[in-house]
Amino acid sequence: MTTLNVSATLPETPADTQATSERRLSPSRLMVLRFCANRGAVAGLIIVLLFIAVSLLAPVIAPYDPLKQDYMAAFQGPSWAHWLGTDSFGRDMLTRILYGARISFVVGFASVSIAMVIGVAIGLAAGYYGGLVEAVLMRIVDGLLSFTPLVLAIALIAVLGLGLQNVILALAATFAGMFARVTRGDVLNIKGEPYVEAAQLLGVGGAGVMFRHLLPNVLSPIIVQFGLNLAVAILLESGLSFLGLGVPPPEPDLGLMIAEGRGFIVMAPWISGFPGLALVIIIVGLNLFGDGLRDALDPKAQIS
Amino acid sequence: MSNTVLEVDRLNVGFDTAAGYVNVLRDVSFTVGEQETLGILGESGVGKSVLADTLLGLIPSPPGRITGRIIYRGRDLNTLPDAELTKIRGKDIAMIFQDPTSALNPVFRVGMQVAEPLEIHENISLRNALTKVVDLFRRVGIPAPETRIASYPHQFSGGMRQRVVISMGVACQPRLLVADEPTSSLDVTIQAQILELIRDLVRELRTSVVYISNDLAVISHMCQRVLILYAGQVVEEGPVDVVFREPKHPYTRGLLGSVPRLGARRLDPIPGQLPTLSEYLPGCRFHPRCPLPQKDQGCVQSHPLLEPETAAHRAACWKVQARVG
Amino acid sequence: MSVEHVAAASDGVLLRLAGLVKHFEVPAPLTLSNMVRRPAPRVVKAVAGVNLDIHRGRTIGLVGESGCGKTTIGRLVMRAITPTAGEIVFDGDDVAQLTGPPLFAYRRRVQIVYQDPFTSLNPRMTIRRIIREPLDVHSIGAPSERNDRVAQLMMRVGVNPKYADRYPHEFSAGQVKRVAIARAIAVGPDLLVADEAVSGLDVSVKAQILNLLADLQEEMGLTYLFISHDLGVVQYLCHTVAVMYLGRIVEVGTSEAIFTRPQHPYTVALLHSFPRMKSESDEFELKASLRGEIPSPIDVPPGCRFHTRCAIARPECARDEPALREVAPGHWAACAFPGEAR
Repeated sequence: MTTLNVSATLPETPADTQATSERRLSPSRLMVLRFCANRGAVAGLIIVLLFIAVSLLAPVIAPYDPLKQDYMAAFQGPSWAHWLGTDSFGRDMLTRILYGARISFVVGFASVSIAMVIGVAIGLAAGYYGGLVEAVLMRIVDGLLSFTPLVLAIALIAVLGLGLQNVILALAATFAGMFARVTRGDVLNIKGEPYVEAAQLLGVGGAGVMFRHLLPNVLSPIIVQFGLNLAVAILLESGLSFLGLGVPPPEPDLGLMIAEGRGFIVMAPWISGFPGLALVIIIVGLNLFGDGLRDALDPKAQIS
Repeated sequence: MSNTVLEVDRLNVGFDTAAGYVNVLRDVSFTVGEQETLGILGESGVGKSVLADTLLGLIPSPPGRITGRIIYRGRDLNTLPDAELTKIRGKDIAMIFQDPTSALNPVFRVGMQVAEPLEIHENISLRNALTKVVDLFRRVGIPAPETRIASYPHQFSGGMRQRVVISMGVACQPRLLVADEPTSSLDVTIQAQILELIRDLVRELRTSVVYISNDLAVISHMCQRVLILYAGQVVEEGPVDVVFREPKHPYTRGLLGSVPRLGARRLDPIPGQLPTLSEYLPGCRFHPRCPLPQKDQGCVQSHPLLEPETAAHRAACWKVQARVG
Repeated sequence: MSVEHVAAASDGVLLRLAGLVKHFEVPAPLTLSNMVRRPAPRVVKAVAGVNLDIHRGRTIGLVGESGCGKTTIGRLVMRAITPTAGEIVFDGDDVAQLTGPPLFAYRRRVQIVYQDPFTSLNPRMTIRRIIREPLDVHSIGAPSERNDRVAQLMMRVGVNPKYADRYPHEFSAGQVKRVAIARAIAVGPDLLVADEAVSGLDVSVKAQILNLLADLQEEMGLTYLFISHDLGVVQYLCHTVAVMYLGRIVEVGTSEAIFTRPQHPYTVALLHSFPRMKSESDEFELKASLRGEIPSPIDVPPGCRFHTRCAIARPECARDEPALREVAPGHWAACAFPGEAR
């Protein structure tokens, strides 16, 4: 082999060392562009943002005390004093709906977040380790997922008892399985990529590989799942409350309010009607947003 | 050898994108003579495949914008309506693709796919076409052709698939073959077989070839003349031996200095990297990396053209032309 | 055990592969006729007995076509997989079956550069984190100094350190390849496995990277196991070349010997198949001297595994598998009739 000249340590050519920001269009930027091009998704986003704002600001913007009863003002339709009317106890509907949305948000967000943490951890471990670990974990997940969510939630409430905390736990258990499955599937997709193997060949341990290399690259579908599950969680929570298994009265809760208004459907339809409408708007908004996220993340979609 | 089969005159190809007009090929001109194999040499992203697609009329416009002329048999292909182009494509001008796996439809048997151009262009029945396909397969070296016409693409190895694609290209005995890096996905010994096959077929059918590749050695073996493409424009053109022995354009010289060979001292690569489409300059697109001294405003502002047609070996460089003149 | 190996040159042997074997099991395909009793899984004999010495500070090229086993050898050396049999003796210790802390220590001394630059780096990590990770994992230097070391490494491979907080997708293929090299040398390994490390790069970029690799070898005393199908690059970069076919080494010798005086018919055919610039000596003009396709490593031909495509095969070639024999000092070929093919 002929002898080679040893070059200077520093590179001489600046052209050599420039990164061009336009090299490849960042996947995140593409995603944002795709999302904004989708009108439904943007509408969903607006609703979701409103929902979050309302939830956080309810104590500040609500005109009345949600629990204050006023028999004199009961069964009133929408008026200037009560924009959405009053219910059978004379409580202001608008206030109760605002607080009810707040509870929906808290329960939904908390339960899906807990589900995400547990489910993603299970999915990561199952996907990464494979073998017996995967088999055991995924069979448990399969078991959880084989129940209709509402039935599972009811069964868990029956075991755990009533109360807000238990509602959150029951819903979390319901959704953990979905997160686990999605995560595991995506982990299997990228497990074979050279950078994962490179990390292992570097000596990075299981936890390091899972959290530094696998997790960041499977995050997108997990976020989409979060959005979609949030809608279902809120719906489930309302359903549980409607059945009397959720938040106990006199707390304002959309499902509970719908149940309470059942007896007065003919004479005061707004008592069930407005909470129901609020629920519909929230769910539709969340679904549009979640669908929009999912479409935006679809790697096969192209911007023309 | 003196007749021209194809003449490309100041071809400009660009696309209207969301970010505005992007130019890919600028003022590309060349001719292909009868029974001549012209090589188009360029690294990735310089527009080789776009050129191939343009020659076959496969660029949709809009969003593509094509100016210039592609003259085949006295007619400008750019101005022909689609119906006319379809008659020419596959029959007079045919393509051999780079990746045989994506060039073949996985759900149809190969016999049907190769028969298709025969049915369309020679107006014969499927049965007659299939007989010809058997002969074609035998000619390109696919063993047991009578049974193999009923196979699906995935049942072939890579080299065999490429033979199928080649047979599709030569089925109607075209006058011009456009081969877009046909051996880049193959193993070395298989590549040698395919290169030999292409050479034999070209000799036998007396067809002209536009051979696109990024491999200097392959071009030096397969082609009589070569066109060097850089950032969408032709920088040098001439007989292969001459261009590779005495390159005129600094880019060609840089390329040749980058090719590793036994006993060579340190490689002398061109510093920097290929510009992306959005970085194409109005003047000479190579000048940021050009090692020539005394580059001047001319290099920066105006884009150099190939020297006049009288020269057999020409370079598109102001400095080179200044020296000669 | 008699171990055949290339005679040691003046440098020491860093890595010795002895009797290395790797089999993969492929389950038999399920068809209607064999659903009741599945036939035994088929065995892919990816590496079928390889002996090789790799000398410190030198570059050994491993060449061959699909199914020859060169990539598997690379993965065995990296201990990404475990051999079915045989020894991998690195600096005196057999690492073939290591686990736990000794394996972790070994990982620091051998690193790999992959073919595709973009999939070999985590797209969600900045360049800084990518190059820093090996330093953190192996506790190299004080934590406060590691960012400086990252900058130094980036400069050494030719990427401006001010771009350390960018992501791989923002760079070109050549620059990402440099980052991958920086990551590989960050731990100061003894051996670098380059698995088609320059394949797929443009001509000029390839040359830049080859220069970089050559420079690094000089400065750091690195040893390279250079796996490639590109004979031109191997010819330029490698001191020693080993030619593989269907899981075995069929010829090994210095680069000069292999490329000017090949002894094994497969090597001869390879050299004929490999297009070279016409301006070079045309001792091996381009011709397709091999007929047929490469056999699958599941169904290795009996006797000499190359005999089905060999231009000079004799009847005995179908019976007896030739061993690697020294046909000239430091030049070994596994053929009963070395030097006869042209």
